[in-house]
Amino acid sequence: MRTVFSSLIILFLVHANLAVGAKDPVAQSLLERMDNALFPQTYEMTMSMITHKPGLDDLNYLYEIVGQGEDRSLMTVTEPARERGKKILLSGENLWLYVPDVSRPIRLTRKQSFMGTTFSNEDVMNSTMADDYDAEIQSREMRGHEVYFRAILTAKRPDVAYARLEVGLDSTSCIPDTIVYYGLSGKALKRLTLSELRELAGRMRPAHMKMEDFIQEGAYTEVEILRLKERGELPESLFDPTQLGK
Amino acid sequence: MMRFAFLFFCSFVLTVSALGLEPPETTWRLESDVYLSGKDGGRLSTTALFRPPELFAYQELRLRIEGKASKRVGYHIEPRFRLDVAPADTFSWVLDQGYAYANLTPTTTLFVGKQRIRWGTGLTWTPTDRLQSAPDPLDPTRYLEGIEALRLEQSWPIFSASFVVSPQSGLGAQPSARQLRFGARLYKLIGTADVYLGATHQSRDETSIGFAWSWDVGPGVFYGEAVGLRDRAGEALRFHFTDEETDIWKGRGVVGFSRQFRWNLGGSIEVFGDEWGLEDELFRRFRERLDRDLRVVKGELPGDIVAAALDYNELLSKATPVLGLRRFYGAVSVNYLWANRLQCDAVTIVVLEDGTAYFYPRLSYVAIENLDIMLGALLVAANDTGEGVILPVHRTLEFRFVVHF
Repeated sequence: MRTVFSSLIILFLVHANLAVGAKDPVAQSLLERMDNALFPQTYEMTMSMITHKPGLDDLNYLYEIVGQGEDRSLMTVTEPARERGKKILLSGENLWLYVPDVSRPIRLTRKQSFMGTTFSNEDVMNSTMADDYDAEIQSREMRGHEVYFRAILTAKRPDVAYARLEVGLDSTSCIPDTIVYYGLSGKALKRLTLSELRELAGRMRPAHMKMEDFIQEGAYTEVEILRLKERGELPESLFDPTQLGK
Repeated sequence: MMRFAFLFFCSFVLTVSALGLEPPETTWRLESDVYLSGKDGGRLSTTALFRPPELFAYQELRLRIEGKASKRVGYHIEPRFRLDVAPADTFSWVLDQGYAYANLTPTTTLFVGKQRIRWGTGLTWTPTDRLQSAPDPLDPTRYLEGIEALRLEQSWPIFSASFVVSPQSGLGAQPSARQLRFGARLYKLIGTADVYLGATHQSRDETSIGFAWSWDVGPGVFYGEAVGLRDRAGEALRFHFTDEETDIWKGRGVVGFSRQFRWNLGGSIEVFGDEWGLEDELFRRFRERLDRDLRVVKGELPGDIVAAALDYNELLSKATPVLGLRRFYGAVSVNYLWANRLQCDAVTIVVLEDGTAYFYPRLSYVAIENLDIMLGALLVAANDTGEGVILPVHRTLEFRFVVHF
């Protein structure tokens, strides 16, 4: 009953905002809730990443990840053995690769592909959409007791990775099930599908993600969250590029 | 030596078991390497002085053992065992790294033991990297032996600092000449740029002060380093061919740009300048002396044969970029991954003053998940007055199997 009531209120608010055509505070609020729904504030997780590209061997990686806040995470490759010990540090708009044999951080650019996957570094780094995009509700429908929204996200600044995003999510969990990424030309570039809701770190979260690349037909990367645990405060030194060697 | 290695591992395993510590994560890498070296005929005969045997073959096993003794204390051990088959049948081992670290506070970490301390942002040359022996610019990912040191890393929200004390000798110094070496470095992240300011000091050898940066400018990364070096010992190569005053400051720097064009295609371009290098006239004198000493070795001229040969081994051991004789170098590197199986890398280094070119193409094929097969070649193109002409080899063909587990 409470859910239905909440949904009706949201529907009312959405109508009100569409009517005046102003910047959409409900959509923006949903976006902020969506940012917080995927991962806890500080966490550690084990994640597998499999990239399939037509005609190529699959790329399989297993990562141990610790993350803090919206934009800091340290990823350590544990499989395959040839890549074991490589670390990728993401902090704000910065990204470094640490290779044990080289023993110092090498800065990478945001634009390049993330470890040969269909994700770009920016896709992985940009975990807070509310900071980068203005949201507007495009459509809504009732699905059972929940309102399902389609929102259009428009880049706030020209340096944001994608000009426009189309997000589908329900109002209760605020977990998106699809995100379509569009370029400046208006062409759809990629689609992220989130599925397999499981209890992870104390709440229902998607355990499976699939990023399809529309430019390279048939190419996709599947992400499986094998373990997610909420952590207490993480030491500052963990996210310092000069201390990746430990 | 074998016995020492065995005892080392027994002690380590027993300690981990006795203390009930969590088993460490261990990565093994077994490398079998064969390479053939040769030199063009008709070049400067002096190189015969350094001519190596033509066939090398060895097997190398490297372990990387990482673990934690507690929440705050961890360790890292990286021994390398090598069995040479040709030209001599010998076994040796080296501890590349063996250190423990302790997170004293959430922002402070202390490292004690043998460790790699790599500074700098350059991909081919890292002139601010004065604590660690310089990597091979043609293959900077090859293993480097660490230095014994005590290192304190401090992370503040505004900047990070690193302080190092090492009893390690300087490059080329005799073990008997050991002395303390100090290093300090500040790091600051400004926007999307890393900025480093560092200094090293060794009272009888050298002092250096330098800075480095690495900046994500969008399409790629723009990076560079500059360092001022004061050579107190007067051992730099140039002092053997000039009357200029020793104990002076001279600069060394690098600037470069790296870019990833596609997910599987990337490259970089880099220019290196070194005031300590030899100008044309000094390089001419160097070659004349090299030629004269070879004639002494051959018995064509009177002189001390041993002194003549040893002198050059000592001199050349101090050189860093390739042979590091000249003042200006350029490097271009390209890497391409084909079908997720074949990694193609190529590095070209050109001595800008005389046109000598070092070309190091390499193919690595992922045969099965944990096995790489690598084929590499070093080719040198040099005219009769260039740096390359005095190289001990002009062509090397390398074949390597690497197993990861």
